Amino acid sequence: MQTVFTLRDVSYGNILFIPSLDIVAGSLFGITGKSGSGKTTLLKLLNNLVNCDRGEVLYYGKNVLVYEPVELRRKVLMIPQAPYIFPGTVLENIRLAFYFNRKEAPPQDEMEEMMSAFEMEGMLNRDTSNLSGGEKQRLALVRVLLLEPETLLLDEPTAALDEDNATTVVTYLARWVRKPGKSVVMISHAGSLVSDYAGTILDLSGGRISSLKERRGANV
Amino acid sequence: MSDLLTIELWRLAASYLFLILLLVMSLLLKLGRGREFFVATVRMTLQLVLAGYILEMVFRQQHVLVTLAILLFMQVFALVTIFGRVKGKIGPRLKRVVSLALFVGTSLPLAYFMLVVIAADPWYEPRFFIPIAGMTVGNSMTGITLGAERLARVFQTTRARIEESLMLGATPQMAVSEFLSDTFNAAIIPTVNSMLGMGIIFIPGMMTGQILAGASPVDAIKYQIVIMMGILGSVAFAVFIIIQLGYRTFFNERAQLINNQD
Repeated sequence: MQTVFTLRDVSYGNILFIPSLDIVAGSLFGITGKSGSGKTTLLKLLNNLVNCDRGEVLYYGKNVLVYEPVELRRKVLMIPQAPYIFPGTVLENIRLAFYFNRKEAPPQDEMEEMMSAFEMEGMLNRDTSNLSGGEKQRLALVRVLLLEPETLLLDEPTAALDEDNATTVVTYLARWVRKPGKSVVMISHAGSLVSDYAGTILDLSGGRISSLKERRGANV
Repeated sequence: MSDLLTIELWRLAASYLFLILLLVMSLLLKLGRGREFFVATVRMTLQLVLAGYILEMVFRQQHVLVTLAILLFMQVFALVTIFGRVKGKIGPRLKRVVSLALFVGTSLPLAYFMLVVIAADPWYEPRFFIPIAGMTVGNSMTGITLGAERLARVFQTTRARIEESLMLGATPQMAVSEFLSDTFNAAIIPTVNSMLGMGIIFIPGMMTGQILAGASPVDAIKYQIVIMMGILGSVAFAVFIIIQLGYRTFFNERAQLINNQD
């Protein structure tokens, strides 16, 4: 089995200490833990948004420091817990994301298709100031999924969603990750939907690995 | 210049009546700032008298090094003023960019000005060089202060947006480009605004001086136009340096947003 991320002797300030961790490629990897347990910092180490003080983080076997940082982040896109939605319309937000990646935006019907997968059909020309918290969170997902990254890092992507929408999102991701070359690392509450779909769940406590459970019966 | 106006000493002294008026008002209104007004007037007087004698000496000497030393003095003084104003708001890396912007941003346009536009002989002719240098440095100082302050504020208030852009695959330049144009505008707008009102709402000080000293208004405006263009050029150039090099001080070589500015 190929590993998408490998961490060796990683420490970051007094926030995170990970002696060894392998995240298997092609799976949905869940991270749980109380706030302040280092979950978000761990995600930021994976796309080199921050550097670890000690140790190394590998992406497909290569140290993240070997990658050109912006190129790495285009392969490994991250959505923070409270995604920032740019002023303007939904369409402009999507186009901006493509501009950031120096890619040509797809035709609008392709965008519409992705929008309707997240129950947001017909909203491309909606001004983002009129979106609800849940709609903003789903727009953030649409924005990155259209970019077709290799790997997704998601910080509580269902936090602002009701149960139905949360299920839509998680089942979509569980399907998406089965496509060749895709991986998802996702922070979530313990006991939430993620536990049903994640292949592996890492529980952090005080910046250290508290448990690492493989879930053979997962829906993935 | 037969009608050149010289002010006799007693008339000069008479102009201080306005200070006395201000002090009386300050007493009546209980502003409690009489001391400040007095100190400001005394400083203005002493500084100008000193400047007058020094300039007279410099004009007579016509030495390139003396002229350049005065430019350097003005630049250093401007830099100290800027650092005083932005104290605690900008980090050491941005301070270095501020220094560079001030020195390069005023020296290059000034050189172009002296060599091409005025084409003085010698090129450092202090009678032209020093007043123009003063205006260039003074105006760039304002632009640089505005630009540096605004840039630092952008990185404080829009951190989430900049970081989100990085997560979405943006280069640092892409993540901040919109703020950079805002910053540029904000920093040069005072200069542009002063051009809009010029000649209608107010007659600029330099032009007033020339007219008072007996020059024809038509000659005076030529100088004023040329000087305004020089000021605009150097402000724009200095602010451009601040912005283009300044934003980079908020990122490290791994295109990461850095926390403390050191």
